[in-house]
Amino acid sequence: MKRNLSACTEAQLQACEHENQEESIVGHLYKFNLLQMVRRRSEMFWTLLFPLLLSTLFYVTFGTGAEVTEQMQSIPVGLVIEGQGNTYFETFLQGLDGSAIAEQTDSGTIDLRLLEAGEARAALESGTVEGVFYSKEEPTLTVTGSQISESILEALLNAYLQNQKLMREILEENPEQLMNAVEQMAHFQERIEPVSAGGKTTNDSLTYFFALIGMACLFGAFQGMTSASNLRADQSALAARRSITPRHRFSMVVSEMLAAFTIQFLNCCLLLIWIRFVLGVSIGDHLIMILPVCALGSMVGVAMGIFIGCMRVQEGIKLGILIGGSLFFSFLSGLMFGNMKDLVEHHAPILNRINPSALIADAFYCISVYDNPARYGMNLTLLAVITAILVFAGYWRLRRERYDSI
Amino acid sequence: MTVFKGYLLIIKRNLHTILMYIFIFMGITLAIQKSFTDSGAGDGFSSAKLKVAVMDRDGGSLADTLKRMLERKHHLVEIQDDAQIIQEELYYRNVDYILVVPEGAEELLRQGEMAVQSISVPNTLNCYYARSQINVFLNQIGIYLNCGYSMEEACAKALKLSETGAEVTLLDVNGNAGERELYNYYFGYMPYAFLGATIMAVSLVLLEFKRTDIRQRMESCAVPFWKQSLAMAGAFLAIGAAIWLICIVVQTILYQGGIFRSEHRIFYLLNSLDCLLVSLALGFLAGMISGGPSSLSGINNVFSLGLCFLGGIMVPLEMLGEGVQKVSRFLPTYWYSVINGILGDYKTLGEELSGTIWKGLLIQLLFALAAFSVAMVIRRWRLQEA
Repeated sequence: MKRNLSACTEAQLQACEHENQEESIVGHLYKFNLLQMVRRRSEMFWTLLFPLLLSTLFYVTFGTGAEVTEQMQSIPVGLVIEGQGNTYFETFLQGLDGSAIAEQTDSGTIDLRLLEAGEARAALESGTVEGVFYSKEEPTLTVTGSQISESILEALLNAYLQNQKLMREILEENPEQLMNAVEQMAHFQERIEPVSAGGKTTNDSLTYFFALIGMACLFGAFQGMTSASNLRADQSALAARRSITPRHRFSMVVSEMLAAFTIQFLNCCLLLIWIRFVLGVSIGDHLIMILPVCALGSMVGVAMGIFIGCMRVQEGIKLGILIGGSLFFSFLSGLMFGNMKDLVEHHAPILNRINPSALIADAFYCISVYDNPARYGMNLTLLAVITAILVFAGYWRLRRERYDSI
Repeated sequence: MTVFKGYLLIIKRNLHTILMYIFIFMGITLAIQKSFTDSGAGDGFSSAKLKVAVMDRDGGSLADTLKRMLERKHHLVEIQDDAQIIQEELYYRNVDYILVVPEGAEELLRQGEMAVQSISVPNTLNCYYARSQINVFLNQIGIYLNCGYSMEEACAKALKLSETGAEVTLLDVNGNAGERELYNYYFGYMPYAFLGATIMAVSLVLLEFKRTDIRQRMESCAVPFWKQSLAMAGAFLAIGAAIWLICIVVQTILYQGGIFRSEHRIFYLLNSLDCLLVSLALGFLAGMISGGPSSLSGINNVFSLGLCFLGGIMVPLEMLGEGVQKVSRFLPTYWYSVINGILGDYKTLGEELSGTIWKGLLIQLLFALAAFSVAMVIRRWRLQEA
């Protein structure tokens, strides 16, 4: 009995020793895989430098876009007085002039410039003014386009003419109320109360950064694909050498996957630090919510790469599938056209549920634009499911591979 | 001729990469073109229409009148009265302005209070445009109410009043009612195709010819070095001309003549040729500095995307901040965009505008020359090293 027990313990000890050896081998392989991956310039360019470069270019262009193109600024406008002019209309315009009311407000609706008829045409042609008002009995407006600025000028002139007509109408129909109406018109009141939509921001240029983070995560596929070729003896010399070592295949697969994930996760974190703290783009402050997206995004990218790397096709075709696939997913999440994800949501919502880049972008939307824990959780769950499917499929193809000859 | 054919053979093998950039460019251009079809410039002035939604929580005549007024001036869109959906629709600009008519709005208006609420991207042109129209309308209803009219009467009168329109004259500066012609947008994006396709084509060929065995074989052949260089220049110019011709022919088909209908066709052609020369020179430089196909792809993306984003190709120059524009002035794509903008905005070119165009063309040429010179110096070093 005692002998049996000691024999059993010995077997267990051997098993434990074997397990410990495997663990240390995984650690050893993991360490050297990490070093190897950091030294692969091409993969590091696509997974780290390219997203950093693209985010900087996005910042330079879209980052300031909302302020420059959408923000209301005084509209430069010319005023030409024809004949005796129209004193009421001129007074009306002066009330809207930024320079005239600069003491009370930051900026007026218009920036009025008194011009001669000849000067006005030249100013319009050169784009110095957006429109020219002609002050006469029935004031008119001349513009060079039909954009928002010109439409605002038309709306101002319309308001003047409508109010003039209103006064005439009161005078004709209800003359005893005329003074009351004049007094009311003189005290033009704000009748609209602006309220917030409830979100943290309405700056839609963030969409590009969200899609970019999605793309950067999917580019982890470069690391994953190289890892897969490092495990397949018919794909690279390194894998051929590895496949003849007396090590369990599982430890090699796990160490490759872990190393690729670690590098991709760190790259993703560096990109987020760059966007948030160097470029100053507000992509959210809740680290506890950002990190899981970052981790699952990196996993899905690496797993996608391993899955593609296991395909039995030429290297060039694999690369084409990888680049084409990740860019297509990124395109659908709004990398090239910001509204794309929303367009897909309206016409084919299922695509947004299976597109990892769209799920990552949507999770960031939930973090930095509109708090929605349920939607955020659903995005993470779907990402986890996609990752699990890809990892399982990749491992299934890589495990127990035996070669009669290479 | 053998060397020339050799260059063309390698170009042919990489034709799919070249065509990919041209197709991406055409896809982007057509998508942009589609987004412009709604605005369709007419003969005269027509005010801009926003996407406006009205949330009627009151159900009275005021809300109904506001809807009818806004329907006449803008595009009314339906969205659910749900905070999350409102935020999302506004964020993606599916709606520009949301007007909320709360319960008791009519009573609030009678009392001279803020009667309605608005949800929009704050302090924007769109917000101001819609707000000013609604404010004027509500004030007019308020005046009628104060003068003794009932709510229904006041609404009907204000609605009728809102039909009063001003006389607006459109001064047609560019011959297309202030709107740029669609082919102008096509030309605006063309540098992306030129840069992407040309840099890839030229540098991929150069990489092949940089291989030691091929270089040694060519050095020992009977064809003199200058003839080899001439064949190389001829092959690159041929591929450049082919890319340029494809883009020009496509625009001629897409836009029924396109730039050939414009008075500025010579400038359009010169500008695109200048851009092509810049792309060829950069392709030559990329081929000289890259170590292999993988690094080449990176260099190509840095050159093409960098120049396109900073030069106002991907987004209008006005969107770039002042500081960025100061840097961009050193880039050829900036001057390409400036010239393209002038050609799109003006029908007649004064002395000043013509001067800017010629200056831009010259700067692009100088940039091409500089890039080519740097590439030649590198080539010389490489040959001496070998």
